[in-house]
Amino acid sequence: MTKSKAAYLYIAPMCLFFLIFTAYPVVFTIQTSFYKWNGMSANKSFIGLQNYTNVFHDGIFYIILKNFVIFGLLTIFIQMVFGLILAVMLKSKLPFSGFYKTVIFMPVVLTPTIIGYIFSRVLEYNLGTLNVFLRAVHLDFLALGWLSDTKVAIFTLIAVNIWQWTGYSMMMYMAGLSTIPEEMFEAAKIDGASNFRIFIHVLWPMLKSTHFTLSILGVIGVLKTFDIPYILTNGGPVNSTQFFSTYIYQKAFSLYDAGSASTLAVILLILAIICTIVQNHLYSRANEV
Amino acid sequence: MLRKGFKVCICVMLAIAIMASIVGCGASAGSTTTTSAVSSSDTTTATATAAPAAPVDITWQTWGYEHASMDPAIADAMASDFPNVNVKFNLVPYADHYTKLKVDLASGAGSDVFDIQDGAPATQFAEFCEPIGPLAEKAIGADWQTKFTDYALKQDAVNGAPVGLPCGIGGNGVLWVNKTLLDKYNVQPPKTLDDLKALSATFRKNGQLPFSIGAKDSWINEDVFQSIANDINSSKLYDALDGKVKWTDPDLIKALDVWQKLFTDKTAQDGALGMNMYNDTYDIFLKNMIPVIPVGLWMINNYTGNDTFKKNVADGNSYMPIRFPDVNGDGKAPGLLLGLNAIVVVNKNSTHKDEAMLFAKSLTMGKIYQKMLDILWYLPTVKDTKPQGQYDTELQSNLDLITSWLGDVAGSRQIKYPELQKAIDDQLQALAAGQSTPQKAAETIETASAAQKR
Amino acid sequence: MQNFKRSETIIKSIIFIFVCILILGPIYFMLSRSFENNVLVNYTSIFTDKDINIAVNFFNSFFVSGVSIILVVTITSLAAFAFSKLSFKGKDVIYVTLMMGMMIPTSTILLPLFRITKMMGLVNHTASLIGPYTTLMAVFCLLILKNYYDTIPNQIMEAAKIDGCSQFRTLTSIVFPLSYPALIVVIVWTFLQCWNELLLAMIFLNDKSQMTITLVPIQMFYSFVRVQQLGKMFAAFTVTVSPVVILYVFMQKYFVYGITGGAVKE
Repeated sequence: MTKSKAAYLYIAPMCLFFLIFTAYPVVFTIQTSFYKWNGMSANKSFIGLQNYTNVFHDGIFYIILKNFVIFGLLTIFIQMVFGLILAVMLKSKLPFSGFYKTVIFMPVVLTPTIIGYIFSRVLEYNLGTLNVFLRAVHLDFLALGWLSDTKVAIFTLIAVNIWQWTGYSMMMYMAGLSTIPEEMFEAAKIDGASNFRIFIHVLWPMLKSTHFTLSILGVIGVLKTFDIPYILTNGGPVNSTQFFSTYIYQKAFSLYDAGSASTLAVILLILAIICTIVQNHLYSRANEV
Repeated sequence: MLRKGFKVCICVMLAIAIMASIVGCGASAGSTTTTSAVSSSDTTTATATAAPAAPVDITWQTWGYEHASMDPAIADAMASDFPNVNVKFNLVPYADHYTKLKVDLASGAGSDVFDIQDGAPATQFAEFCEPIGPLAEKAIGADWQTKFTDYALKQDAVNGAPVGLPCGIGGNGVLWVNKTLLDKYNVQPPKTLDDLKALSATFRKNGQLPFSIGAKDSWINEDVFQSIANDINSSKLYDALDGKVKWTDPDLIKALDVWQKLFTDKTAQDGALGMNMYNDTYDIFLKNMIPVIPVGLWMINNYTGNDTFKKNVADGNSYMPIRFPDVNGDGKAPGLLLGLNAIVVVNKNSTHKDEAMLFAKSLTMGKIYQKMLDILWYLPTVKDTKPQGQYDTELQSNLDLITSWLGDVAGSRQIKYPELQKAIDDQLQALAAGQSTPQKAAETIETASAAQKR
Repeated sequence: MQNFKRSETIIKSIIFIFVCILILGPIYFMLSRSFENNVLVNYTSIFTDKDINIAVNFFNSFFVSGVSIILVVTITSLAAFAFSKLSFKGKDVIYVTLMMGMMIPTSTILLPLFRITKMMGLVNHTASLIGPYTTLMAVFCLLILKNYYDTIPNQIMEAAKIDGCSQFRTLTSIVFPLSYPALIVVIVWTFLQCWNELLLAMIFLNDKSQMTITLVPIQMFYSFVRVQQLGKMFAAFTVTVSPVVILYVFMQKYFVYGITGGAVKE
C-alpha cells in the first residue's frame, strides 16, 4: 500500500456529503433529544434525560422492540430459507426457469408504496380479494382480519415483506451456489450421501458469506422499514404494528413532539450499531472454524 | 459478453441523465420565481397598498379542495377584485398537510396563506400566524369581526386572540343513509341505538354489510364517541376534555361501554379496524353496498361535486342525512359537533402579507367564499350569507334538513390537546378490538388527562 | 430413473407456477382495478389532467436519479480508491464512521435535512433531493466498490507507477474501468432507490412541477373528500411502475447483476 497524503483529497467529496447530510442531522437529532420541542417553534426547553425516561415508561416502546425482533427474525429467516430452496430447485434444468426467475425477482423493483396500496385492497376483511376468494372455496375460517386483527396484523406485514424480497434472497443464493464447485457434490454423492445430507453438510456451510450478507442487509432493511407499515397499517390497529420509523414519524408530525421523536431515533441508532457489532462478531467467529 | 452490453447501457443511461438534467433544469428554472417570493427577504412590502403596481405571486397551501374547480374560481375572483395578485394553489393530501407545514415553518419558509383546523392545530401553529387583527382591519374594516357569526369567531380564537379568518362551518354528529338500500329491506332510518343495532342485524342476515365505520381513522372514532357521550351527558364530556371532570365518571364510562358494544354487538362491520373512512369505507358506500355511515355534514357537497355520487343519484339511489341516534332513550338526538372547516391564516414569514390578506378575504367572505357555499363545500360563517346554487329536490331537502339542525350544537368537534387525543384514540381502538374494558380505558385516559398541560 | 426425474420436474414446476401466481396476483389486481369504469379515461386522464404534467414528473425523477448516479459514481470511486489502495492516518476510523451512515433511517432526520435544504435555498426544488439521495446511496456503494477494488491486485498499482502513471491516472485509466461489474451494481441500485423513494420527496416538494413520479398517484387521488377515482389511481400506479418494470424485463441481466453484487453467473 502506498502511503499518501493525497488520499485525503480523494475522500474529501464523500466526507463532505457525509458531513452535511448525515453527520449534521445526526448531531442535530441527538441534541434535540434533550429538549421538549414541538418541531417548529423558536422555543425549546431543555429537559435533560427526561425524554429518555419517558420512553422507557411508554408501553408502546416495548411493542416496538417486540415487533422489531419478531419482524426481523421472521422476515430475514423465512426469506433466506425460501430463497435458498427456490435457488436449489432452479439448479437443475427446469423448463421456463428464465420466466420464473424474472417474475419472482420483479417485486424487488416495485415501489413499496404502490405495493402497500395494492395489498391494502387485497387484504381488506369484507371485500378484499383474498378473503372473497377464501370464502368462495369454503375456507371461511381462513378469512382472517389481516389488517384489522391486532394479533394478525404484524404477521401480515411480515408476509408482504417476504413477498417483496424473497426474489432477492433467491438470486443471492443462486450466485452463491454457482461458486460451489460441482466436484463437491459429485464427491458427496459418490460417498453415498443423501440429498438431504448434502444440503446440510455441503451446501449450507459453503454459503456462509451469502448468509451473512443477507442477514446484515436484512437487519438494515428492517431497521429502516417505513413505507409498507405506514401505508398498510400506520402502526395500528391499536399500535400493534408500530415500528421505530412509524412511531418516530407520528411523534414528530402528529403529536408535535420532536424531542421524543429524536430520542427514539437515537435509541434506534444505538440499536443499529449494536446489531452490526454482534453480527460482525458472529461472522468472524464462524469464519474461524 | 457482458462488457459490451454494459458499455452501451451505461452510455445510454448517462446520456439520458445528462439530457434530462438539461431539460429538467430548464423546466424547473421557470417555477422558482414563486418560491423565492416567500424565502427571499423582501423589505418593500411593508408599505404595499391594496393594489400594488407589479403583479405579486402568493402561495396557498391546503387540503381537500377540488383542484380543478378552485383554479378558475380563484382566478376569477382575484382577476376582478385584485388583479395584481396571482395565487398559486398547493393542494396537499390531508395526511401530509400538517407534516409539510411543520417542516416548512420550522425552517422559516411556508406558503403565504395556509389553512389549519381549530383545536390542537390552531394552538400549535398559532405562533406562525400573523396576528390577523391589524391585517383584517386594513383589508375589511375596523368592524371586521361583526361580519362573522359568533360561533365561527369563538372557534377561531386561541387564548382569546383570533389566529386567522374562519372559513366555513362543518362537522359531524350525523349519519348518512342510503335510503334506496334501506327501502329494499324495508328498514326505516334508525332513530335510536337499538334501531341501528336492528338495522345492522337485518343487513347481516341478508348477507350485506351493516352500519360501517372506518375505525382505522382515529378522527371518525372521535366523532362517533363524542356523539355518544354528548347524548349521555354533554357537559361532562367537555369538562373532562378540559380536565375539570375525571374520565372515570360513570357517565363517561357508560359512553365508552356503548362505543365498545357497537363492535361486540356486531352493529359495526367486521374488520372495521382495518378499514379507513376515506377511501376504503366510503368507496364501498358509493358502490351502494353499505346502508349507513357516520360521515358528516360535508357529504352534502357530493351532490354538486362528486361524479360517481351524481351518477348514483341519477341511477335512482337516494341518500339522506339523519341525526345521530338517541343513545340514552330520552327521545332526543345528541347535538351536532360543529367546528370550522378551516381557519385561513397568513404566514408570519410571508413577504407579501397585505396581498395574502386580500386573498384570505376573498377566500373567507368574498367571491371564493360564495362559490364554495354554492357548491356546498361548507356552511356559512359570514352573517347573512347562504348557499345560492341550483339544487334539485333531494339536495334541497337535505340542505334544509341540515340547516335546520345547525342551531342544535353540542360543542366543538376537535379535541384540543394532542396527548390526550392520542390516549383517547388508542383506547377507542383498544375497546373496539376487545383489548380493554370501559373501566380500564377510562382510567388510562384519565392518567393522560391528568398529565396534560392545559 | 427417468420417471423420477420427470416427476421431480413436474413437482418443481407446480411449485414455481404457484409461487408465480402469488407474485403476479397482486399485480394483476392492480391492472384490473385500473380497468374499472372507463379504461381509456383512467389512463388518459393522467396525461391530460390539468393538474398534472406527468412528462415533467418523469423528467424530474430522471433528473434526480441521473445526477445522483453521476455524483455517487464519482465520489464513491474516489473514496473507494483511497480506502482500498492507499494508506493514510485515520483510515479505519473514517471508514467505520462512514459505514455507520448506512443505518440511519430517513424518517429520523427529516427535520434537519429540510433545514439544510432551506439554508441552501433549494426549498421546493427538485434538486433538493439530490444531496440526501446521493449521501444515502454513496455509503452503501462505497462498501461495494471498495470490496471490489480490494480484489484488484496491488501489483497493478506498482506496474502503473513503473510505467509513469500518476496516482490519479492509475485510478482513472486502470482501476476505474476495471471495476465495471461493481459499477453496474452502483448504478442500478442507486437508480432504483432514487426512483422509488417516497418520504423525502413527499416532504420536500410542494409544486406539482417539481415532483417526482412516485408522488403522482398519491397527490392526485388521495385528497380528503374527493375520492371515487380509484380506477384512475390504479391506472396511475400502473403508469408509474411500468417504466421500471419494462426496464427490468429487458435488462434483467443487469438489474440482477447489479442488485446481487455481480456474482450471478449465467
